[in-house]
Amino acid sequence: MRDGAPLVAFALSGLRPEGSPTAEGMRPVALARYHDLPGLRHDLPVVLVGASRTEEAVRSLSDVIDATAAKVGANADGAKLAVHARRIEEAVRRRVAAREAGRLTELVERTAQESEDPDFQSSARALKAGLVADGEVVDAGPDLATSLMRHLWRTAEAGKTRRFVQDAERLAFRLDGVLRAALVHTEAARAPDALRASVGTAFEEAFDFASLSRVVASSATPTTVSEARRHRIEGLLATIRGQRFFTNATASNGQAAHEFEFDRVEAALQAVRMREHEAVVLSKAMAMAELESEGRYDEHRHDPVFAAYGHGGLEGPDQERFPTPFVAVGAAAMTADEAEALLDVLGAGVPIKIVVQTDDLLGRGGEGLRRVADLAFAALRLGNVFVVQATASGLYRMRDRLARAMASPGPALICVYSGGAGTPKVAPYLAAEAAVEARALPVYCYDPTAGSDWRSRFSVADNPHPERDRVPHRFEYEEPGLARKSGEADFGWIELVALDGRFADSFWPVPAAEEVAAMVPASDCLDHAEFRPPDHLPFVFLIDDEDRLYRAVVESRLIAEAARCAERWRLLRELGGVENSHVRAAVAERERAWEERSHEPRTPPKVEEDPAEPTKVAPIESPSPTEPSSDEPYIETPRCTTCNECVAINKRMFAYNANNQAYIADATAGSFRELVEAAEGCPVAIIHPGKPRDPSEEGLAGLLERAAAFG
Amino acid sequence: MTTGATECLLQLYSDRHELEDYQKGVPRWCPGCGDNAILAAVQRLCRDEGLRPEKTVFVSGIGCSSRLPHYMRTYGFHGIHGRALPLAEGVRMSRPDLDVFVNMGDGDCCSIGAAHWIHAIRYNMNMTVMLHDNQIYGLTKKQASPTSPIGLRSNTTPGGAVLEALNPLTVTLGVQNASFVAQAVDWIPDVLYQIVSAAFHHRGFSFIRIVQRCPEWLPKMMDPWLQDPSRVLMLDHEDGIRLGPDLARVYKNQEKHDPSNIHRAREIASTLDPIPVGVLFRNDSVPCYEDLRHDDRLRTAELIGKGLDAEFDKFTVWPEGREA
Ligand SMILES: Cc1ncc(C[n+]2csc(CCOP(=O)(O)OP(=O)(O)O)c2C)c(N)n1
Ligand code: SF4
Ligand code: SF4
Ligand SMILES: [Mg+2]
Repeated sequence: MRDGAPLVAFALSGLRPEGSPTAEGMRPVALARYHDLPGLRHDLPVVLVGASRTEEAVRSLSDVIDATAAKVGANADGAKLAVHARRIEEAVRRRVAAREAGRLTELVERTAQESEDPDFQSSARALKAGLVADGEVVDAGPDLATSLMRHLWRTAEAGKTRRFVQDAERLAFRLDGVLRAALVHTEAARAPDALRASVGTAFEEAFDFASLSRVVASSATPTTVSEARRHRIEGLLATIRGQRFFTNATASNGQAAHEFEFDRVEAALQAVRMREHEAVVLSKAMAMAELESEGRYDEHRHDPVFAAYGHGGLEGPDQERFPTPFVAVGAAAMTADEAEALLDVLGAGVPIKIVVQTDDLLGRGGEGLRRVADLAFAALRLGNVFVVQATASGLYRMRDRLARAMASPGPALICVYSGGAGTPKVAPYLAAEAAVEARALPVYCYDPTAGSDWRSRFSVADNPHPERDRVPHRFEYEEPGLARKSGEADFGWIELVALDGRFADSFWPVPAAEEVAAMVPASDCLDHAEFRPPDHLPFVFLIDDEDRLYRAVVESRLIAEAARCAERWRLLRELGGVENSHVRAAVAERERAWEERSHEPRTPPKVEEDPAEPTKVAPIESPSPTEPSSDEPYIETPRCTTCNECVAINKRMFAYNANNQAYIADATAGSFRELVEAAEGCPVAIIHPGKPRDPSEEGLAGLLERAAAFG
Repeated sequence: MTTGATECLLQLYSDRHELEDYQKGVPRWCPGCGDNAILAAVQRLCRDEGLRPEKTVFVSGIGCSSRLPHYMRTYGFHGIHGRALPLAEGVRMSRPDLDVFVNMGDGDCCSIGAAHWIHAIRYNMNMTVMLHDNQIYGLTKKQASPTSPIGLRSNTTPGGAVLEALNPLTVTLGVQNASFVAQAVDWIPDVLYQIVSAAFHHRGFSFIRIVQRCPEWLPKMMDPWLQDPSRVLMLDHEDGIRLGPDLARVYKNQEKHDPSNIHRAREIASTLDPIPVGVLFRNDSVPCYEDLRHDDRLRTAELIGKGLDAEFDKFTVWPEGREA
């Protein structure tokens, strides 16, 4: 055992003697197995499909090729096609990995052209012709996140444009119709030339249009559209046609359409502010046009309402129909002020879609992590923002949620780590996956549209072993005596740092023979404040190129940062309902109560008999309480069929109620004879004449006899 | 989803309508004609649903019953004998913003219009369809219709009708895509109203056969049923219609029938006596033809002109050397 003093000094301050070992060329033992990296990447590259729904806008290359091969193979030589499809997929993969750009059809075509095998060529062409989806093919790389998110955003926005264009064209068409109809009544429309033009070429010579004009002018009907209305409609049409929010909507007034893609947060925010008024004006014009096109605009009622329209800004569907700005920004390019302003705007609910990307979590003093993870965490607390934290390698897996984030009406923040910086020996996507495992960048999704509680909105389920603080790994290593052994090690923040070549001298690998007693696993130091140098020296397991295992002492400043990371993970996990302390306490309380109750004597719960539903409903037998005395005439009004018979006999005596059913409105308004005749004429026999009022009425005896039939 | 200011504004000041707002003229039907009751029910429905008269259209063919649109202060289309349904389909297709009602006689629907009827069921376009079944040609003065009972003496069957009557309910229930089938009688207005209302609320082709009395030509025919409430079988269900306590006391012959059960619906439909009244069948999941064939294009004059030209060109005989 060696003298521990230099190690203690190193752990406390990072000072080390000249020539002491560093982690240069070593990697965390948990990654021992990942020698062969490309085998893992199965969902990349992706095809950015030209689809009308965001849910269908991103597919993996393998998925598209498989589906196409299955479809095309169904009516061809399936087995051969499947083999060729594999080769084509491989070729396309190689092309995009070599940064060759293109749509899938183009890449397949180039692959076909380069082959000399006519069989293969014909398969490739068949596959190309039958592709189930087409679009740009994008591989892992620094642009993946931005390209993919921009594509999803554009897909969602295209849907909005379609809907707006449809609405605008419908309204413009109908308003035009109103103006055109009004024109017909004007003098200009009755002029001989106008009449000639409206008749068409076939009968140009058949009429005397001058006389015709005199005739129609003499039968002038007053115009149906007031000057004010015509003026208003023309104004609406001008606003709708001159709008700059959507391209290819109706005609344009020549001004360029607004830009909605930005690479600076500040620029996007400024654009949002500047266009707010313009959006209100357009939204108002659409609402007024809707009323006008239905002929329901009432100046008296609507003018004051529209004068105040949009004073508090647009809301709900009125706002949602407008384009949502998209900002893709590198974390490094974003200033602290911008981040601050961004959170303000997101918190205010301004719909804006922001993608913040970094390839560097640890460099420049952990700047990347702070920009990305802290920003996402801060946005999460706002409650109304759709937040996704992801790695470029996991984007495909999270595509449904990302699609929802882009299509949802409110603000969204997508924070993506793509890996790459500081880990030249490790593929970027692996570095990204490592950051997830290390809990440095847990992946999560908070969808405020998914429900009203955390359980439906928030998920950390995409993280490996979400129930654990750290992800354990089994590993194998060589003992100095060349014996093969295996063990278990965590993969956490400190291991992630060890993967980054720029921090090699924050580690001091100690050969087995030189270990000192104070060395304790770094993970123990995170949970217990009393683990501190000089009594305790934190270490992690590293292996060298020959798979030899070392315990490497860690600079203690890394421990503080690691503890912060672990803390953040625990909080996120609780929010995600995993290992939630409130739930644990509530369950414990329940169990205790249950335990207590189980000592009491139990009464079996009452089982309610569920009587089978009788098929025949037994009606209630009782005389109607509403039946009046038989002295007064009455009608069983609910049974009246509105046949007009009785009301035709005497309108004042018999009348219809609000439902057009007859009742006796005034028994004194007519004779007993009329009552009896109505009763006889009533097809459903619901008129009851009662007793005569006037004992001197003529022929009373006979009438009474006839009335007897109606009670 | 919150409502935008626009939506609120469109709903603001939506006028309240009274019964009179839907009434027009004095019906020219014979006193006691069941058509009056049907008119009263639809006017009440329009009022209760607050239907805007300019957004409502009644389409009919030819017959006494087909005069109904004249008495509605809404849009109407008094069409050609037997052709109410194709007209209504055209209205529905081109003006999905309108509520469409169809009124047909038994001759109209089941005789000359039978082919249209069958296909309209299959198209399942959203409209409320009332078959005023008086079992006779009323307007043309008492000729037998397909629904006239066997043995009925009429001007065309002086020795009595020789064939069994066609049953509009079983026919409708036999066609693919039937989505709403009900039966009403004109003399129980509250139930008639409820059924028309249920039909209106069903999205699809809602078919109601209404047993309608024609006191002019068949004055006593329905009397046995009128006088004996037990000869009406009331179908009661939460997904159909509910009988109020007053009616339940009179119409004691009731059955709890679930309108989703098509097999039982077909059995009930075959029952002639007692007359079943209520919703026999309902399936909300049948797609509507106008949704399947929805076309976003604006129906501009140019588009319509082009379509018509294309149709006419199919039949055009072009002069030598001037083919299109
Ligand atoms: C194409 C055509 N054929 C025949 C007629 C003559 N016609 C007018 S109404 C009618 C039948 C009416 O009976 P129904 O449809 O049951 O209606 P109702 O009068 O009974 O209500 C007939 C045959 C016509 N108008 N047009
Ligand atoms: S006669 Fe009878 S059915 Fe006709 S309106 Fe009068 S009460 Fe109603
Ligand atoms: S003939 Fe018959 S159906 Fe026609 S109006 Fe008269 S009663 Fe009604
Ligand atoms: Mg008839």
